[in-house]
Amino acid sequence: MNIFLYLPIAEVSVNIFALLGMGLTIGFLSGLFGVGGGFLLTPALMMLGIPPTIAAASDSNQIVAATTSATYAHWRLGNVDVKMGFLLLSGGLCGGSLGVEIIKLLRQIGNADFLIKICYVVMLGIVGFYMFQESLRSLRRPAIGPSDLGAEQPESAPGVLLALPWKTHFAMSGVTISVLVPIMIGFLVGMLAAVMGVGGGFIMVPALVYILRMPVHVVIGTNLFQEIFLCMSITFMQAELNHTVDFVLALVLLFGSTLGAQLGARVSGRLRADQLKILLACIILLTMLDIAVDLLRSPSVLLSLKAAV
Amino acid sequence: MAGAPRAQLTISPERIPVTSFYHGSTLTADVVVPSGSEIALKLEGGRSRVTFNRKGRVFLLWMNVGDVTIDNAPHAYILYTSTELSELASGETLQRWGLGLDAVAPQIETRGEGIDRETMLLEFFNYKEKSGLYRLSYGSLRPDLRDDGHDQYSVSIPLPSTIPVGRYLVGLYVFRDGRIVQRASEAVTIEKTGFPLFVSRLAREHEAEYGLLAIVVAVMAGFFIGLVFSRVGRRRPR
Repeated sequence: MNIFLYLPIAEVSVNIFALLGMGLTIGFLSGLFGVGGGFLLTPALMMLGIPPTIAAASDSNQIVAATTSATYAHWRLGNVDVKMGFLLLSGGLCGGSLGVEIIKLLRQIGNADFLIKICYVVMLGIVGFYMFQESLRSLRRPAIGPSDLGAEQPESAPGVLLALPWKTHFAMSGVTISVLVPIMIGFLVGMLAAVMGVGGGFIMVPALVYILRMPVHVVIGTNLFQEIFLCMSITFMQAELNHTVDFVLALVLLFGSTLGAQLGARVSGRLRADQLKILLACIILLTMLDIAVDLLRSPSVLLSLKAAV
Repeated sequence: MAGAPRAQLTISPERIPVTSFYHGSTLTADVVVPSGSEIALKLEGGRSRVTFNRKGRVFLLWMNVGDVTIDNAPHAYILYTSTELSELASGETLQRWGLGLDAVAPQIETRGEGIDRETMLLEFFNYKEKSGLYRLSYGSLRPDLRDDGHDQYSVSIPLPSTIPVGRYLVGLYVFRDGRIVQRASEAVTIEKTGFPLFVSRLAREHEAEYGLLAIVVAVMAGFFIGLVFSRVGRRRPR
C-alpha cells in the first residue's frame, strides 16, 4: 500500500511507510548504541529526493525525539550520568562552534570535502577495527554473565588525565576525574563532528569507553542525554536562520524513531558490554566501507543540489 | 492561412492545489488544430539561480570538486511534438520560440571553475531529466480524432511532485511547411493550500516560534512514547 505525504518545506511527496520504516530503524540503532543515526538517515532521505540541507536539519529535529525517548528508557535503567552529560555538552557546544569556523576556512582553501571524507574513512576504520578486535578478545574470554554495572568493572583513565586539577566523582559512571576531561572530550568530539558533518555519537561513544573507561551502558545513556540538547540547538538555529526544518517530515520520522528507540534500549539492556561493542564496531566498519565504496563508484549524475539562492 | 480554423488549446485543471497528500498530478491539454498540421506542446516555467556540488575524479576517488551555479534555467521544461524536432522547423525558428534544449541552452547562465560551459549544461540537463523535471518526447503526439478539417489531440502531461510551486505556461505551436502558423497558450498554477501552506508560512514568517514548536513537539513525543513503553513494560507478566 502506498500513501504519499507532501512535505511542505522540502516540497516533495514521499511514501509515508518508507519514512516510518526509516525512523524505526534509526531509532532502534539510537536506543541500542547511543548514536544519533544522522550518518545513515540524511543520505537515505536524500535518496527519496529531499534536498540535503532540509534532510540534515529535519533529521536533527527527529533526533531530539528519538534521543529523548531512548534517554528516558536508559534513565529508568540507571544509565544516564547527568553531570557528565552536561560537562560533555558544554565542551561540545564550544567545539562545534570552532568546528564550523574550521570548515569555513577549509572550504576557502579548497578540496575540503576530499580531506573530510578521507579523514572520516580513516578515523572510522581505526576506531571500528580497534573496537572490533578488542571486543572479540573479550568475547573469547570466559563468559561473566549478563551485563550490569558491577560486571563491567572499568579500568582507570590514562595517567595524564588523572593528574589534572578540579577532580570530582561521577557516581553513575564510577570514575573520579577532573571536570576538564569531559569538557575537553566534548570539545574535541564537537569540533570533529562539526567538521565531518556527521558522526558525533560514533566518536563520543568509543572516546568515553576507551579514554574515561566508563561502563558501556552508561556511555550510551549519557551520550543520548547530551545529544538531546545538542540537536535542540541545531534544530532551532536551522529553523531560524535557514528555514530548513521540515516539521511534517520530522513528525513522521520521530513517530517511527521514538518507538524504535524504546525497542533498541530494551535490546541494549539484554546484551553484554562486549556484544554491544562488537555490534557497534561492525556498524562503524560498515559505514566506513559504504563511504569508501561511494568514493570509488562513478556517479550517474555529476551534479547534486547544494542550495537554492 | 487566412480564413483557416483557429487552433484551440484547453488545459485542465488550471489550478493544481498542493494538499497534504499531494503526489504530483496530471495535466490534460485538449488541442484542436487544422488538419495536416504538425504541433509542439511545451510546458515551461519558473526561473531561479541554483548552486550544485560538482563531482569529479581525483586519483581513483569521486568527490565534490567545486560548485556549479546555473542561472535563469526553467524549473520545469516538458516538450511533446508530433514529429521529430528537426522536421518541425528550422533551427532558427526553434531557437526563437525556445523549442528543444538547444534553444533553452543560450538563455541559461553558468558559472563554475574547472569545467567548460558545454559540460556544465550537459550535466545540468542530465540532472533535470533524472529528476523528472525536464522531459522531451519527439514524435509522440498522435491525433485522437480527425474530422471537418480538424485534428484533435488529448495530451496527458504528468507533473512530478518535485515540480516547484508557481505559475507555468503551456504553449501550443502549430507548424505547416516548416513555419509556425498559429500559437496559443494557457497558464497553470501550482500552489500550496491548507496544512502545507500553513506550515510553510509559519516556517517563513515566524521562524523562532516554528523552531521552538518543532523542538517541544519532538521532546513531548519522545517523552510520551517513553512513558507508554515504561507502563507497558511494568504491566507485562513475568
